[in-house]
Amino acid sequence: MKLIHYLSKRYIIYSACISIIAIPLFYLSLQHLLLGGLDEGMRQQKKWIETQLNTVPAKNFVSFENEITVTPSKQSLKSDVFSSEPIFVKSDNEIVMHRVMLSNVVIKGKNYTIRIQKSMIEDEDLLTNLLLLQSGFILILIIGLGLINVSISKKIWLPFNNIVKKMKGYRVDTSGKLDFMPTKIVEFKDLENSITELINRNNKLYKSQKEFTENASHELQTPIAIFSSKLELLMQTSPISEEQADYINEISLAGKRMQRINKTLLLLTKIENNQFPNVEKIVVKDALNDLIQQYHDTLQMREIHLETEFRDHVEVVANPILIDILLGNLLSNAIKYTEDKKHIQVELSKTFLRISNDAQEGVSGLRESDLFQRFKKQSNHSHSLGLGLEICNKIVSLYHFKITYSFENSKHYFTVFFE
Amino acid sequence: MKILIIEDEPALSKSMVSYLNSESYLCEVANDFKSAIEKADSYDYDCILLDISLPDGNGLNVLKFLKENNKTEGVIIISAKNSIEDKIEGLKLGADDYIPKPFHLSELSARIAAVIRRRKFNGDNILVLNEITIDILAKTVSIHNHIADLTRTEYDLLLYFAVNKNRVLSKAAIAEHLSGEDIYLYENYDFIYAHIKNLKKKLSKIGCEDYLKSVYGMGYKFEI
Repeated sequence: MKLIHYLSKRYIIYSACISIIAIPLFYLSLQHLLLGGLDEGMRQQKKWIETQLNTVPAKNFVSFENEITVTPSKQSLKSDVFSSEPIFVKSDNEIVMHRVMLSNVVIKGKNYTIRIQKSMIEDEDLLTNLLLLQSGFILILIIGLGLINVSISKKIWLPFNNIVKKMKGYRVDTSGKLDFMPTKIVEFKDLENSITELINRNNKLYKSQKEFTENASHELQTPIAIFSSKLELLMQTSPISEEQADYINEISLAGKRMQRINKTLLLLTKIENNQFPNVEKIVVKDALNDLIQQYHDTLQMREIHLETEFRDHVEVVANPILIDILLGNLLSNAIKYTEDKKHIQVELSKTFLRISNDAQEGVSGLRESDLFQRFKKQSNHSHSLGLGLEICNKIVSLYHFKITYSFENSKHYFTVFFE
Repeated sequence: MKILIIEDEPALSKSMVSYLNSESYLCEVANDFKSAIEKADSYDYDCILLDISLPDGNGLNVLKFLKENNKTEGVIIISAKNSIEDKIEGLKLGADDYIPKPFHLSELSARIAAVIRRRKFNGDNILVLNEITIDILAKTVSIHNHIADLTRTEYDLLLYFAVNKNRVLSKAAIAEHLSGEDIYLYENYDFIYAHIKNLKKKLSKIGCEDYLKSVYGMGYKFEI
């Protein structure tokens, strides 16, 4: 529930309760007052009639439209009786509510009943009008309150909504500092300050972590260079026994792997640091053909059938080195995990590039959730670093492409969707 | 041939010196910016190997110094940063080549040979090893005046072996030389075996002796 709805609901319930109680209460008390006034008037009239009756004979006492009648009566009423009853009025040709007073008087030993009736039409009109007016006012009041509430809260919450929007779009690796809307509300200022602090702390942490990877990789380059150069010199010494040669070979392979991990980590950091800013139009087909040419020897030697299907002319605006790495990674993965004499398909269309290859026997699909994660290896392949697909993923997301993996009919499908 | 190695890491410069010495290069080492400038100023070298991350100054300034003083040495930049900007900047400032750390000594030696060759204007572009004659300009190989029908890759391979003769070259070094830096993404050295087999076959067909020896467990050697 939105805060504004929460508040408005309570306001509305309160106002509704008050008006539900107030309107009938008002009505009843007004009616009571009006009736009291009428009754008082009629009592006065009765007193006047009583005194008149002492001098004027009762028969002569006829008033307009039978408003007042004085009739002799046998039984006597103890006190005045008031009642409201509908009476047909000839002149208006309608039934009108009247206030009627019946009263007993004894004049010169004779019992008379005085009946006074008064039309209540004006009082009723007054009452209805007042009631309508009051209801109208209350309605306007409630609507007005509601509107003010909505508009104020819209304005008040603007900075808050702004903060929420900025926070939603915030990413520690790409967003820098966040600029918030100026606000006078202390609570929001507090919120902004704490968020800014949080972001600064996170940025600092992220930066130092990134720097660590970067520095570690850089600093490792020199010892690795020394390591491999000494190994190369060691290879030149003689005599070297077969046993020694085996050791040297294994050391050299391990060194190579170390070198590759390091280079790849550096590359990842560079992509993250956006150190490949220069972009140009790249014809994907040409880039693919160049790569396939590079792997030509391997493909031929292993008798892997590579089929290409370039349906559309696709151009992407990106850094050529990164695109080369992306396509090269996908292609070399496909080659690496295809057995000799099996098939690889490369399919290019306007919206996507799909590279599929026959899976090795006994291999079911790979876990997509782990696939594009750092160091999450899915094979015991000694050449596998668990970094290649992460690089692909980084490059793909850098250019707002999308990469997906699926497994169908014993084939691995890697698909890059452009845009 | 004199080579100046500007490198602050003594272990690495020692490796370079010992590899290059046995290729009959004369090497001198400068391990900081100051001594690099002094040496470059007072002697002439055939090639300068320049590490651009020096403790007391950017190595690119050495390049600027050489340019300002009309020094025409061939310069190969060595960098641990492996950044494209450094490479572009360096080549713009007149460096001849760029090699990222870590590198194979055999690769370095091949690059040095190429730079020195390019710097020579007197047409000394023929490399002769016994009966093998390599014409570097025409990119042809002939044996006893018979032109060998080599592919581009086979030619590159032979030249690489010729420059690093009598050295054990690891499969990794050969593979990287043939396919450039990209190879680190795809590590399978099987393809070089096929190339070497073909090269040997083609050379022996026109009467070349078999100099290309496989070295158990490590790689290949061009023994001459």
